[in-house]
Amino acid sequence: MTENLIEIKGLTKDYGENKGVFDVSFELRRGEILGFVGANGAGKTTTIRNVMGFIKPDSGTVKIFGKDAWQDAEKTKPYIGYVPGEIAFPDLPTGTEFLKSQAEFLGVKDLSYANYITEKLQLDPSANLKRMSKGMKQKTAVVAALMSNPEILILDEPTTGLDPLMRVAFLDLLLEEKQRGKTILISSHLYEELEKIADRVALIDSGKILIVADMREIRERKVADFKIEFTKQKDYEAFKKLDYNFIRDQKEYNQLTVNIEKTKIQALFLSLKNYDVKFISEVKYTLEKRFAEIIKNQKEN
Amino acid sequence: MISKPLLKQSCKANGLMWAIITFAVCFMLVCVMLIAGNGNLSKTKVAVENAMIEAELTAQTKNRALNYYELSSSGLYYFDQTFVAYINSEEYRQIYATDGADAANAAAYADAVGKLQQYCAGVAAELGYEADSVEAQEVMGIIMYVFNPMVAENTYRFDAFYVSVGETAPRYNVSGALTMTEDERAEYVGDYAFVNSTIFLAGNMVSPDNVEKVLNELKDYGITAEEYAGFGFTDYENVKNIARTVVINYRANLAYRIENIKPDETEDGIRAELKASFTSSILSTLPKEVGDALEDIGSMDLYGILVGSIFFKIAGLLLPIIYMIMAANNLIAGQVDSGSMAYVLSTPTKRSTVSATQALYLIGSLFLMFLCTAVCSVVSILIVDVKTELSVGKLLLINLNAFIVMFAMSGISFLASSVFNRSKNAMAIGGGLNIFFLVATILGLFGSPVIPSVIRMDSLKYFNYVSIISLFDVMSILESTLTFLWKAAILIAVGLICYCVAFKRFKEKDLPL
Repeated sequence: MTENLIEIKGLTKDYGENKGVFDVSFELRRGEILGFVGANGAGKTTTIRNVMGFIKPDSGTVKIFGKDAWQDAEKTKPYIGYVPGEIAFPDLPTGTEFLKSQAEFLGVKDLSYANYITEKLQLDPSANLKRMSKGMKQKTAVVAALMSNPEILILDEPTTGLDPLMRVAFLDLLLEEKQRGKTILISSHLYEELEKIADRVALIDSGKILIVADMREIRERKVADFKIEFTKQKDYEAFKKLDYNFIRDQKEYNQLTVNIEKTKIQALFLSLKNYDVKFISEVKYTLEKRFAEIIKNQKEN
Repeated sequence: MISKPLLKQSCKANGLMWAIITFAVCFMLVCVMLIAGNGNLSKTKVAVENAMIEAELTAQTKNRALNYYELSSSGLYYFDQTFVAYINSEEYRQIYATDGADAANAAAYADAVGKLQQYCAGVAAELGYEADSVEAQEVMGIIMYVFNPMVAENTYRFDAFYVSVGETAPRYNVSGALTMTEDERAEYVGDYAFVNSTIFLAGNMVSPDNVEKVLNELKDYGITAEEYAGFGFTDYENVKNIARTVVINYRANLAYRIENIKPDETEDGIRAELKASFTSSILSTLPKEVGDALEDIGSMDLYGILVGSIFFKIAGLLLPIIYMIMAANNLIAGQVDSGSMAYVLSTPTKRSTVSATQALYLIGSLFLMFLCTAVCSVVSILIVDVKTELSVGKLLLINLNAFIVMFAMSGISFLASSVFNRSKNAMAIGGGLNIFFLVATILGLFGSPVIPSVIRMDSLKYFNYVSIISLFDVMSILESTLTFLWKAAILIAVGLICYCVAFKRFKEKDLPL
């Protein structure tokens, strides 16, 4: 049975002029990574601020382990590790000082786990806080959030500012934390990185949750799309007459895109033997596509 | 209630600023107190003060000169009258008949001298002096010294005195009372009294006993023996000149006025009027405002005002206010604006704990700052030797009151810091308001009684009504009144209200973290 660690119900925070979040409801289940995606200004940070108890909802509730995120803010904090979107450290000289101070706030006496993460992220915390690069600051913030080994991690756009290699390492770390039993809420405006790690992804737009998609539906899709280009127009015309589900037709390039069940791929390739094929490639089914589809369907209905 | 790590963090973040500002304030304070205390605080003030004392002494001397002249001349008239009366008496004729002219004249002289002594006692009693009192003896001394009675053949009682001051001892022409005309005699007596009363006055004033007595009285006004000598009151010739000038003027004016006496005037009235006009002191001859102004400067406790009003209300508050504005901003608004507050609030630390801890740091650091200035100011006042009403106790009260002002002002800044999410807004309101108070106090200073009336601009006093710093009543502390107590109570109330509202606001508001 899945347990909801965070439950958001009917959360509304209206800043006027259509800014804010409106009737947002979703939940964070134990052990999952929930991606939270949306354009800049869509309401990701406002939702997270509500979860963190930094702002008071106009209506609706956020419960963390059954405790109200605004009323009992300090009681929810022992469960949460938080990496803010904008990294600004307190006025302390070095990263080490900051981590020590943060450990005191959290009541963490044993710094071995913090040291482990520090090494894992290849971070040198003795550097001057003010002179740290964006990436180093991000890492320091992550260490601070993880060191008390909380059950829930809340990360507000944690990968912005990291270089591609560092981003991969960071996402690996999140997966590792998930293995250790952590539950993670991560917001991002990049679909790809959520695709890699998330179990579910919630899409927010103009302050409203449009859909919460299960990544298994995408990863374990029964069908695949192939784009085929023919050298001769004759072949293109002939192939078009066959009994396939063509989802895209680009006549000027002699291109056809076929949607086909994965079990029938063999048959498709065999039939292509008879044609002069310039190239064939699989069209990746991405989260973005999935959302586009869903939004399209919703509009049509 | 209080978060130790947060307090540590605040100390680390603002400690250096605190140390620098505290050092600067203490350094300034010690400089002001030591330099102002050891140097000549105000040459002008001392000069004005001395000029007023000199003028006062001169006026007194002139007054005495006229008194001496009047007393001695009327004494001599009395002597003449009793002497002539004796000559015309039966007793004189009998002695003349039995013992001859010389014996009779001697008897007349002795009788007149005896009666003169009784006259002196009578005058003293009339002036309200008890018999044998110092003043009564002085009256007797004036008349008898001027008269210089003969005690034996060619032996006169006070010759030694006249010789000691380098003058010829006078011989009062007794027989002239019989031979001269009335006008001649009046002139003779007047001249005799004039010459000898002024000699007596000068000789008396420069005598070491008298100088010591006067210096003792002037000690309270900070007049040294050198300064007194500089005024010329230890110089015999100078004192004699002062006395003679005033008596000559007085006599000439008196003669003229009596000759042209108006119907509504009496002779005594003219005498009193002339005496007053010749002996008026410098302050009474100036227009009232100027006189008041000079008296103002003379009576000012410049050191107390400098340390109390100028340093602790303005110069010494400036740096602590700057520190307080920056610290108050850093403690809340700065951290909310930058977002670093998120790290504190994502730990199990209550917002009320954050508020209370930051307020404790702010108030505590200000208290320590003024503890340092209190120590510095007490040490300084013990080192310097200066004439002031400022005591150690008053200094401590001033320091405490300065802290209370800062408490109230920090409440305003802390409130602004808690209300606004943007650092610049918190600075503009919390900082701007406090700086405005300070500027208003500076402007108001020029209109307050602290500034000598000569350069005071009364219209500027209205600035005092718009500044919270005006509730820091240094003058009340200096003058040992209790007004400063209720003013301090208002300040404490303002501070408490601001901090309480700040706590409530910070607990309830949305934070953009």
